[in-house]
Amino acid sequence: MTFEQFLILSLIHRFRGERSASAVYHLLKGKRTAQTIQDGFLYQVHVYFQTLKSLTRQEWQALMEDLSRSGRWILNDGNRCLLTEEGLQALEAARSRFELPTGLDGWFYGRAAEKIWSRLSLLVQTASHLIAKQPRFLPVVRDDATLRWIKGYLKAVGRDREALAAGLYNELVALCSRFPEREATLLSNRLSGSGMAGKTIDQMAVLLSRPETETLLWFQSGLHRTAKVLTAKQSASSFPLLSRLAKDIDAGLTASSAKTYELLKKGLGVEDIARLRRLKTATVQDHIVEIAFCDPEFSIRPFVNESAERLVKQVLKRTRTRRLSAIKQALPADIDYFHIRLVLARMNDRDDVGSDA
Amino acid sequence: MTTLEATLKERFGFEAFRPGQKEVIEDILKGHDVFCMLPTGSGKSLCYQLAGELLGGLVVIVSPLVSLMEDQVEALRLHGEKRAAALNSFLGREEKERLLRSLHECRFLYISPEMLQSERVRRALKRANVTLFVVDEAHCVSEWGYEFRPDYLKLGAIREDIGRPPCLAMTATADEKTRADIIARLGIAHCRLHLYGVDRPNIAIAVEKMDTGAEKLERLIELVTNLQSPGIVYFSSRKAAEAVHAVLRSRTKVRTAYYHAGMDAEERLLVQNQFFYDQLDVVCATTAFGMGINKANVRYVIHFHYPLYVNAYLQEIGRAGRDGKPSVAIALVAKEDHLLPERLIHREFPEVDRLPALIRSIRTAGSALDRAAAEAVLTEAGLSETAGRFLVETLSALDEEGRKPLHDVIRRIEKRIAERKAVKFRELSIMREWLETTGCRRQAMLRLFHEEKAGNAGDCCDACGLDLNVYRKPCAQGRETPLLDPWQKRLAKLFGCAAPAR
Repeated sequence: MTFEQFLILSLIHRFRGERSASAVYHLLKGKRTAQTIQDGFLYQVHVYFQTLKSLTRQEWQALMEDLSRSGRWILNDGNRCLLTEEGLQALEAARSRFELPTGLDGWFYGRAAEKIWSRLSLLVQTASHLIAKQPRFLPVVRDDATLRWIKGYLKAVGRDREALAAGLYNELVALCSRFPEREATLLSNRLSGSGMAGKTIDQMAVLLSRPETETLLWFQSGLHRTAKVLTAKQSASSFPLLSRLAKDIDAGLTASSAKTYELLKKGLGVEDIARLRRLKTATVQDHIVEIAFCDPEFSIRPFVNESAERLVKQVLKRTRTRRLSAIKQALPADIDYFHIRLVLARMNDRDDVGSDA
Repeated sequence: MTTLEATLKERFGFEAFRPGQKEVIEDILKGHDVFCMLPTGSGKSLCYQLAGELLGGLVVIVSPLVSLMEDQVEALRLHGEKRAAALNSFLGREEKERLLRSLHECRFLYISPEMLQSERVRRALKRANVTLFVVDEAHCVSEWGYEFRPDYLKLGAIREDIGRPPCLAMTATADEKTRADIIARLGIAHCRLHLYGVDRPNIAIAVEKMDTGAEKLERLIELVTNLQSPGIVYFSSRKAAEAVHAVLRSRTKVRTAYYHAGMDAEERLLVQNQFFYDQLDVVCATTAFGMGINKANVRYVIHFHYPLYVNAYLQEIGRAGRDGKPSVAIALVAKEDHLLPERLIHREFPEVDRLPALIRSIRTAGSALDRAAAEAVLTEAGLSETAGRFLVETLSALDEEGRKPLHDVIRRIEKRIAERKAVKFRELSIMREWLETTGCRRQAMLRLFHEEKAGNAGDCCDACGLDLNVYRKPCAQGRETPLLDPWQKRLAKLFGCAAPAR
């Protein structure tokens, strides 16, 4: 079994035979649709969101053909895909050979991580060349917006090159020491500096004798951890230089939801916003669910009280089915879909949704 | 004209011009339209870059490939010219707007032909003070050539539209027929011609034939182990580049990496930079690699698959020996390789029986005029990038003439495909004939461009007699296998700390 097969089988297993194989594809690829993201939370696989962004349709088809050809591991009728008994055993057996990283959080931090990484890698490369007194170099990032952003950053920070390099070094050491060894190794070796270009995922995978895709996921896990640490509100004190890299990254909301969010921050309630914006209450609720799904720092408490949240979590844990209507029926009448969806957005692996993985 | 030399020294750090450069620059500065044919690796881009520094205003460079544009912008910035930018469809809307508003701060603007179709872009250019209109890879104008791009046909009219700035058409290789075609299409009948031969005398040429692919692989391992690095090995497919890279990695001590357009942007840049900083001995690559990479000391180029066209072959071997030192180009040919090129040509076009469905899917998603969207639809349908671009370009050209019934559109596209394939197969057969030459290979190559071989100083080709020992490494240096640094050590190295923390 290859690592890719291992990953796909793991995810098919998590979907419990209730989703098609393309649900796995959309998840890994990071398709931002209501269906994909709701599934992600329902089956607690949202951490894998967008982790294989560059996977092409053709590559996916080839992977699935390989898996389907023998017909031993999966049953796939197009609408539903599930593991056979043999597939389940093969998956269990493979767990000793492959290791999934523990820091992935693709839905919440994938987008931010990507942006933070391109800024971080350019900043480190710049600082490294500055202290080597080489102002000209081939940047690892070519996107003009990032180049300009770093220019502004250097001005705003206003430290001389020695102080900047020393500060970055100390903060990166502090950051990496919080991470698993392998992730720290991957992050640091991919960074470029004066006279040393970073290593590609493929090169690092070979040097670690691990599969390429597994290495890619571990690298991403390190990125997501980085984003999580640096976007946290209290990060500015421990990471004064690095936390700035996480500034002005938008949450990826649609324009209308962003407007609703602004009004919420001003203290307006659902009904007020609906009246003010001449929207249906249900639409504003949809916005709030979207905000909860996008911004991990957003508190759902004003909309769902603690006991309701606990009830919903219990039911999600107890019931096998992931059909929202069935879940609602198992709950008191005053808890509606709005509440369930909000709680869903706040589920994490610790409140494992009855998954047996 | 000592000012030219002074600028050359000051801005680019060179002591002297290479053949042709100065003459071209002088004619540009006099305000003439110029057609210039300079071989790859001879510093074509320096001509408009230096002229641009002296002309002032905005130099617009039309370039067919996004990666090429970005490489050129980077190269300019590396020389300290910050006023360079690239405008292509990969730019976000905001970025595009920002760039168009600040054109007056820009000295060199690289632009794709399709961006020039935009009314908004042309208006901005009309307002800007365009002092030179450069058409790079000008042979794309010609329908005779295998690299024909329909978008290039409009460049003549576009130049008129933005106020008829002087035009510089540049190409590395174009025969007489193609040259006439380019000049007519661009409307530069009174241009000054600067033609320099395609020959690169410091690159020795060899073709080695074997029976099987396995033999070829063994020979490659031998060559890569013994030849003086750095080098590039070219493949026709991404898969093959990756696979052979893996073999080289496990069976030799050379530092190798692979490179192709299917990798994400950061990975590609890392490989380019590793190669540039001599951290790699060899890159196993598709043709996507090397354009715009200004690495002077590439010592060999090996073709593991032969290119489909003589032009492409010249471009690729031209990446060796830019420093003028002896270098070698070796094409390895096995019998089974002959199946590949036909397949590749067919892949460059959509299959005829899928046309109705493909066109419908473009039209449901919007129209062919929104190119980025249309191309995305086609890629998702499994079309190759080239096939997608071909269909979108052809379709949008037809749509501009007015909406026609579907069957009519399909009939015309079918005809177009047949014509384009015929051109490509003709070019392919020329390449194959050349591989079969028994006489001097350089001579045979030059004759294709109606040139004669000048006296040869160094090694010429395997037919004339070639001693590959000249290109060997002085001794088989043992090199320690690279390892991943522990993170503490890596961070210390990045920030120039003498000792790792703790």
